[in-house]
Amino acid sequence: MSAKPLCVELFVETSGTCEGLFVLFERALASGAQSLLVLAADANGFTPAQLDASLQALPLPVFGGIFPEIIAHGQNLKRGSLVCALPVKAQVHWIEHLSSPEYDYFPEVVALEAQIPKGASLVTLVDGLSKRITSLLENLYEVFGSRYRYLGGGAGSLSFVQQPCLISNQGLRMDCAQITALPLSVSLSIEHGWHKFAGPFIVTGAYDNTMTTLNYKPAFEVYREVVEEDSGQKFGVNNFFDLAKAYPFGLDRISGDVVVRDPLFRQGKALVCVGDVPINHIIYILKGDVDHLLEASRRCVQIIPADKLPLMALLFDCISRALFLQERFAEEINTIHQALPCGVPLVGGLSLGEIADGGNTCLELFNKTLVLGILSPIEQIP
Amino acid sequence: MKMTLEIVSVQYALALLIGQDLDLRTMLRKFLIPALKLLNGRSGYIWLHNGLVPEDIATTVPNPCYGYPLLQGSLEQELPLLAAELRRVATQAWQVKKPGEIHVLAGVTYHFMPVGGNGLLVLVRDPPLSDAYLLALGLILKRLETACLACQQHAHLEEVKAEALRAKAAAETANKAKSEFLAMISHEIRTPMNGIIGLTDLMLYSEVSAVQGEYLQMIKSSSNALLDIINEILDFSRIDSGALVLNPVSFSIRALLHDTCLPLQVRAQQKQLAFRWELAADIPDLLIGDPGRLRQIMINLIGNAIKFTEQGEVVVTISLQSDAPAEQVYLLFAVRDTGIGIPIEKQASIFQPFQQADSSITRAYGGTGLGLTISSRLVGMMGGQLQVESDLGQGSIFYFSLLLTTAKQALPMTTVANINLSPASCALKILLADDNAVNRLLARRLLNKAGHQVILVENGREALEAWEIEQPDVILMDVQMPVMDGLEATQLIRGLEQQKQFHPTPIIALTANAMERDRELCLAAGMDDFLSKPFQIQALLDVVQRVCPR
Repeated sequence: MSAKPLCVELFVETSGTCEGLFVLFERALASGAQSLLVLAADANGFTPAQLDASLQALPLPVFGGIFPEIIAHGQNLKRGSLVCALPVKAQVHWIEHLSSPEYDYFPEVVALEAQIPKGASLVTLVDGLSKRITSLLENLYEVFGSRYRYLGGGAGSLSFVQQPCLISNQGLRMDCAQITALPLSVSLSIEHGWHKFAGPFIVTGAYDNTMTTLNYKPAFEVYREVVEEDSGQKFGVNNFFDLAKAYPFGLDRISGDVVVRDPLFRQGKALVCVGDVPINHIIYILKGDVDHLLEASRRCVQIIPADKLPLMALLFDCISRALFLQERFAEEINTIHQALPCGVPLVGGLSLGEIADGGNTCLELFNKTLVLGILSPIEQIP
Repeated sequence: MKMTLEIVSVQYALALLIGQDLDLRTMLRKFLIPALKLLNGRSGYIWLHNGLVPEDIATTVPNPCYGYPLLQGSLEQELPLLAAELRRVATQAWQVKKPGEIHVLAGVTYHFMPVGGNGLLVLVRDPPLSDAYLLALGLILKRLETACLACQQHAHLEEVKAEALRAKAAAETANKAKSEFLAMISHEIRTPMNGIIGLTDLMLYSEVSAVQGEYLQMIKSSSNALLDIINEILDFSRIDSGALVLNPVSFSIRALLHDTCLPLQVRAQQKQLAFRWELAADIPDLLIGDPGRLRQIMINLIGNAIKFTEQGEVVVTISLQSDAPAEQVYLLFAVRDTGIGIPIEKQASIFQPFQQADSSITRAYGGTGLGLTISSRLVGMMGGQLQVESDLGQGSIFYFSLLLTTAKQALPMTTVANINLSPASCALKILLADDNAVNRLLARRLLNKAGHQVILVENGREALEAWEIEQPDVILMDVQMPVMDGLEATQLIRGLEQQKQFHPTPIIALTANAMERDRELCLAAGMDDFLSKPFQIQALLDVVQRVCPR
């Protein structure tokens, strides 16, 4: 007699109301879930006052976040919520003070290590507008190394105002990281499709996620010169992100690779990015086109196994890809959705920064990238 | 061309990551994490071997001094294949082919790259780096080696510094212990000395024969000499531990010089020495300084001059020097004698503690050898420097300059009154608590002679009980006593007074603890005044009169 195969049930609603979400909770609980992954769109306008009591009353481990948009059933939703009823017990941990300068995450990560079961996959969600996400990821990888696989992204709002955006049994939380251990295996793909366009520049002044000077000149001046010349448009008072979404930065990695950094807004003559920009690093200004970006989504589905049925696909796709691709972004989601075996749900968030361990490099925070994780049951040794 | 630019860019970025901290582990962490990201590496481990092969390499492979990610256990447990390869390399004096060796172990590509001649970096990266990159990294790793050695040197210096601080702390503890020991010994000596001096005084006031009187004077003189020695040791101990502070007040320099020299004139006359003191007429009379300590310095210098001069003269001068700021004066104090003089090679050491010019001097003239040290330190505390010029057999001049502020009005100097044991104008009921029987006897006799009634108790507990029953006019309280000490007894009495709304009874500490801290403790406990043992009879009567003036 064989055990009942594990399966994930997905519950989605598009009204964006609290009541709608609470109905999803009830349905997920009734389905016999062991834990709940909850994703909600920023446009719902959820506040702790609206959600905390209901979240605290949930009898199962809950994890998730509020993202600029969410992905469900092969579509990106600007409004609405989804609840993923997982057939496995999640273990949810927290690391706080994700913007505090000098805060040492190392002891907390060391303490976490004893609690997390070996071989787990870590869904790592962060407040995407926190300032020291990279420091935390460095500490995570320093202590955990490659004993775990990591997958996640930055939650938050495109208003760039930091607010409670991580969903938990304690309610909505902000400026922290949520590390959820799932007893599942994960295959990962990380793709972006951007290419080097101008540079190299040396980051001569930077702190946290703010770049102050490039080649000893104000960062914005250098950036403006390149972008305005190429785009034929001028930076005005309110159009920074409209222009910048097509010209991200790329931190140099040897052999042509880059890790993308998304300039969010300017602060005087400095540029604030999603994720840190290390000083003295070589950086390029990148450019992309629709075809190359969509090609990235075609490449990333190659990890989907042909011979076995995964539980689900979890996608963290940068919101600025959606803003750049506009109506053709649907193709990116659709490409991935179509490649999945029938019945395997695709869920995710359009994120502010993406987190993944590609397997051949260290754990990094990416921008303007799509990170696809295929979650499967851990194979039992007969 | 593009490849060259990339290599130079990476070299530049890596070079700037090196040496960001002086702590080795922190420095390596700040280098290795971004370096791995830049190089698309998966992990990296750094050994700093300094060219030494570990003696136990056959059994134990050393863990790296930093690895990213960190190893959870030993290298052998976690990465056994790498450990075996590392053992082979370490056994061969850590020799690695330049610019680096690439080993594929169970499908993982390890780059073994020398960190100069003192270290090794093992980098996990797939696909492997090209030779061009390995060569470029070699230069960077040479620089990393220098930074590592700087960190090691820094750690060594920090360790030496920490060791020095530990030694300093130990020396300070020892010095404190020494001071406490001196204070304790001083207390133990001063207690019986109080009995000896006091009883000798008492006998001198009674009817004794001429011979007995002579003997008693000798006992008194010897006791005073012993007390001087104890006081010198105490003073030195206080100066040495930094506990002594000057007490600047306004005073008359002329009165001070006169009062200091007059008693010493007797000693000079006994040795048939000419002794005179001169003070320039243009010196303002009223100055601000510590007259007590200035007197102590002068007594020491003049006393030495008289002691070490067999014929001729001793001359004390105070003269005015130029260039003093407004409302201040530079005074040159000098004590000149025609005594035995000091050999030039000994002149520097006479200001050191326990040093006299010749050990035979100690035998011939006595003294602790601390007097000049104390004077020199006191002059230093006043902003001057005690100096000496001397010719062997011709005599010496000890001199120092002080910058003193002129004052408008002098505090009245305390004058030493003649001892008057005639009955006090008002008889008092005095409670005396002292665990020393001789001191109790002495105090009672002296106070009885002055017409006071004395109640004797032996400890603080008895004092408390007697205070409640007898309601004395004044309490003389020893501090160190068995059962209950004087401080606790005083606190309890003060508490009860407050509780019962009694008028406070004056309490005078009578203690052989002569340190300033002891005085502060007594006053803090609620005592009104403090008299250190051994005390002069008149001082005891004065303090009683002061706190109980009716």
